[in-house]
Amino acid sequence: MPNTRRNPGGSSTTSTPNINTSGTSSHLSSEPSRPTHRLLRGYAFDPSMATQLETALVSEIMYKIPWEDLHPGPVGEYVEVVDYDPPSGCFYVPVDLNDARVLAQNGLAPSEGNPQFHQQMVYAVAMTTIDRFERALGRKAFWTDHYERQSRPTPDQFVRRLRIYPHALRMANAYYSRRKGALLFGYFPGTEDRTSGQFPGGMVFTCLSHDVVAHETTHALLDGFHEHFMEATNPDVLAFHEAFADIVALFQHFTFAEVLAHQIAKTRGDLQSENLLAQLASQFGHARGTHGALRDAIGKYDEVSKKWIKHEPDPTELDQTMEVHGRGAILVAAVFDAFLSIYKNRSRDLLRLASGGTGVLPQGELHPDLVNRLAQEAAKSAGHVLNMCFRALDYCPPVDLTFGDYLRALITADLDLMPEDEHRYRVAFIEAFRRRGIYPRDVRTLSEDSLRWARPGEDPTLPPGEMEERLRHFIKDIRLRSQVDKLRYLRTRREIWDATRLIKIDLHEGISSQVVKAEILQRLTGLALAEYQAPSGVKVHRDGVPVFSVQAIREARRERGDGRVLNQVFITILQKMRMEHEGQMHTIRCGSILVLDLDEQRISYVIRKGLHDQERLLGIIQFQDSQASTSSLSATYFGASNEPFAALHNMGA
Amino acid sequence: MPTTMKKTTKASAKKKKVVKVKTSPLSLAPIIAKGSPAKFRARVRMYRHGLGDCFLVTFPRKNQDPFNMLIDCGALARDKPFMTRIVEHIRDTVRAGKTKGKAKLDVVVATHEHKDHVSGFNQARDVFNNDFDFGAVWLGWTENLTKPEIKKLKEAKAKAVAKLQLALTSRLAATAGLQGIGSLLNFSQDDDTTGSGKVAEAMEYLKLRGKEAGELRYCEPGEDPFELDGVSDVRVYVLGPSHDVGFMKISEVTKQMEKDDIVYHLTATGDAGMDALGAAIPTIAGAAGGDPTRYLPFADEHRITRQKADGGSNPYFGGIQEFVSATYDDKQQEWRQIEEDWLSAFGQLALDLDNDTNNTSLVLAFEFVKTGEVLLFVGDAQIGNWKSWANVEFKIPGRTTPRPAHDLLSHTVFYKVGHHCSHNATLKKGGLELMNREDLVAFIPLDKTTASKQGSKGWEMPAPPLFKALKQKAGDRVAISDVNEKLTDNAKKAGILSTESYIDYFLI
Repeated sequence: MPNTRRNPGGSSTTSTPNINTSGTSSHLSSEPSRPTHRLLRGYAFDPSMATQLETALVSEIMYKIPWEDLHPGPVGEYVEVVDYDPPSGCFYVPVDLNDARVLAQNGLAPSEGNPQFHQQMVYAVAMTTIDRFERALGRKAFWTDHYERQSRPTPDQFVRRLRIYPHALRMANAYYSRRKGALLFGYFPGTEDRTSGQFPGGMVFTCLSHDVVAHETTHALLDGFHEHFMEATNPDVLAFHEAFADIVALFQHFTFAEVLAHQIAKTRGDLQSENLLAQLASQFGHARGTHGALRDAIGKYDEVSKKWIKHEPDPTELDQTMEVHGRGAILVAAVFDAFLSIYKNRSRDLLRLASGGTGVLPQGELHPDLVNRLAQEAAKSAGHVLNMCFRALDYCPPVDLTFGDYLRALITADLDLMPEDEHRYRVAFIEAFRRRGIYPRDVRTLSEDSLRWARPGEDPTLPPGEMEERLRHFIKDIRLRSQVDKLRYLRTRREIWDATRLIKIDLHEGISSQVVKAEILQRLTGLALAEYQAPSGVKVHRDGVPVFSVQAIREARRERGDGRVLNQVFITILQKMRMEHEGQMHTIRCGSILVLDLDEQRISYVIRKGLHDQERLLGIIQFQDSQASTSSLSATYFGASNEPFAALHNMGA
Repeated sequence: MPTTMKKTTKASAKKKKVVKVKTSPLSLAPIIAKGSPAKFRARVRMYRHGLGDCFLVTFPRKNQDPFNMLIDCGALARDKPFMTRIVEHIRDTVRAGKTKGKAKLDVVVATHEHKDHVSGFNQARDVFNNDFDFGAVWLGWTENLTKPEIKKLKEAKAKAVAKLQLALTSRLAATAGLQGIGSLLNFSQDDDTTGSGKVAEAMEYLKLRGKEAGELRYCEPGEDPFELDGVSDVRVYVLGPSHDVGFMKISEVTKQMEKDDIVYHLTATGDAGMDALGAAIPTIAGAAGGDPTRYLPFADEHRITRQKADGGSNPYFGGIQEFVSATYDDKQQEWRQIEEDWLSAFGQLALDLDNDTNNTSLVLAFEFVKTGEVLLFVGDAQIGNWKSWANVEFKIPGRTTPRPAHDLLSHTVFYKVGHHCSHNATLKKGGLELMNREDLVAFIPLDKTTASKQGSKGWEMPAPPLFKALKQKAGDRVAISDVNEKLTDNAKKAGILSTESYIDYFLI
């Protein structure tokens, strides 16, 4: 947004006390410090829980959001809530969360009938999700750039804020629209059925469900991170988008301590088996109301025996499930299984302590202290799992992701950060994935070491040590350290975005201007980067340099488990390849990520989806052909949709 | 499916060169195609009358007139005189050269209630009334309105159609969100400009004729196979529509939908959802009708409209003017406006409607018992209907284990391609892939010109990947009813005969 937004505090006619006012000369030592957090009340799940006595106690929680300057809307640094309702042809007054009356009571009280609370709720959940994302990755979140039809990259493409429309649709749907850089939430009258336990015909708002908002926000975050994860090149890509959004929504619940403690106390009977937490998840899935598949993948309530039964993982299930949500649910279930093992491991000692060493708990209710400690362990495990899932994004190939690739990314990221795996997190993940039939297709064993992405190997045609030497030169030549230093002290996302854009241009120059570098890189990435060597199918500039793009450069400085700091840079290079298959031309996007260690000045990993893997390219073409033949009725009548998530999320179809 | 809008009439007018019949009624091909074999066990005649189904299936009988079965008779964009001539041709074919006396159709089948399958029963009503005897009428069990749950379904459908029509007559009609819905709605819309009348009327007429004839059969999937009167060696199997609600939708039916007892649930939100959607139309169009405020998400005092109802400026909007100018109305961010996105709900409704009706298609297989060949007619069954066959079994006399429906697919020698060869109407795995006969033949009733004129982008019929797969499976013995299509060499070799008015398949 090019124009700086006017400060509503200054121009507003009502004299609401505004914390951001800075006109008067201030007395430094008596000025209160800037708050770290803003507390906002909201629903923990969705409004339906508030009207049931059993869950009413925990139906509301306090969202704790990093403090930021806010304008009415709310409009902050990351999101802007614009409450326009086209089917009803009206606006709703934007909420001012800085109003003293609102601040003093931690936000408006939850209410279905107050649109201003709806705005507060979407803001609170979206910001919580963004905050988790940023904390896990240690850097600022960005939204996908806005392109005007094939235009060249310009500074105008920066999208500062994700727009959120809490009441955009009059239907049971909610989706992320990249085209509009927005989240659209729908509302609809609920079922007329009186036995459903809900108010017959009452209005249901998707924007009041924590899970729906977190899910959609995650779609937007993921799209801003890996913009080609919406291109279905194999059955896993879109399924991953859905699964990842579900994982974030699900595990975010497990970080709400009050809710967790309540549930652990309530379902105490079965603490030994994993059922308890799995059951929790199934309720969360139920509250969402849309993801039957999510519930079923973890387990389900058996009508006959009146018992909740865990779904036994079936390694062949993945092969038989091609539908996006069904497939995504398998990944969610795998991550959830890993979480269960981790939690079990971490809480075993507590159970022994509480049961005189037997590990078998006595009858009756649990001691509140035990409940709290168990809840802490569960919350901690969930937080760790979520962090691992987020950090793995750095290590994912930029295109054509498979679940197997994601497992490798998870393991590699964790090996880098936690060389000593005290609680056996990685084993838990590998085992859970194996039991769901999720394997990478190109590793020899399922050990941590072979799952780790490959380091760049020796080149047999070069004398020993030469390769390493050349790579070091390459990193020096492209002045990577000084490039990254440019990002170091930038404060606003706009500045970072602008600086990153220039670095990308520099890197592109650097690579394409020097053939030697390009040749090494070409070998590593599996792309065509050097002059006059591109295979047919890759476009070449007039000077002989193949067309490629430096799509992203990200830096990460993270503390490792042993207290040292890992100083990394991730560079994404993309290239398009046209190939002919059975008389038809196909354009396939290929790409690689270079993971560099800045302290050591070496390339740690190359994660690649190169041009030369014929089998993979053919697989993509065949998959896309088969998609065409199973696509929806909508495609027959209306042509391809330009809102992919609208179709995926439609709760009716 | 029905309708005809003026636009489509024009379309057929343009096609004059193709439809010579229009100017000279006598130019329909002779009732017996040149080169027809003297002896055959079955003949399937596909009329080349446009985008729609019209099949006459004939089984010769010993010492008796042949057994004639009419499976569907309708077209999307054809007028009354045109369809009348087609039906007269059917009459003449059945009369086998005689010029007097009633023509006996031993069975008349309507696979599902869409205009492109039944319009002829309205348009050529006089001919049907005066010149035809019906032996029996077969419909899917989903047409049995004496069952309350089916009645409920039909009412819900009618409501959905009404809402869509309402939207299409509002000023929203021109928006991108509603593009393409009009022609989709043609399938079930009632419209008289081509004399095709109401689809429901055609179904009523058939039921009446069935009752008069003494056999109105509502076919149930998996019912015991039955024989055709006087035809030795042929068994009829009913594969669909499924009783299982789940298969009516392509994807899974949720628990909630079962609870709501929405048999073929039309929208996730059911009736109230449709009302809410409908209520939004007048609020935008400024038209009266109903109580639009009932479905507003919030109490009226929360609403801030740009203008007062009388067009005057709204002082409360003035209060948020600054906010709106800086966000929603910001010229630089016009690309983020969402004026029309909510209209996709109507598109979804229209699709659900179409899909649900197509999935009620009656699916019939005719088996020659001794030799095992199967003729398969699927109506417009969509994926859901196809998938349900996996669980259908038949009790066969003299067989200890029931016969799975999929077994019939593997013996299919003639396949009437579903839904004019759109890609979601022929299941690959568990469908086409099971049809492994060396002599498989596929007939596609399709008029490409009409299909390409529908919607804003044209309908993708035939769907290229499916068409390719079909040609592969059937060894290029695929015939399209489109009058501009030529028979392939392989089709000719297989004995398929083509005239300008119909294409014949013979099972020798």
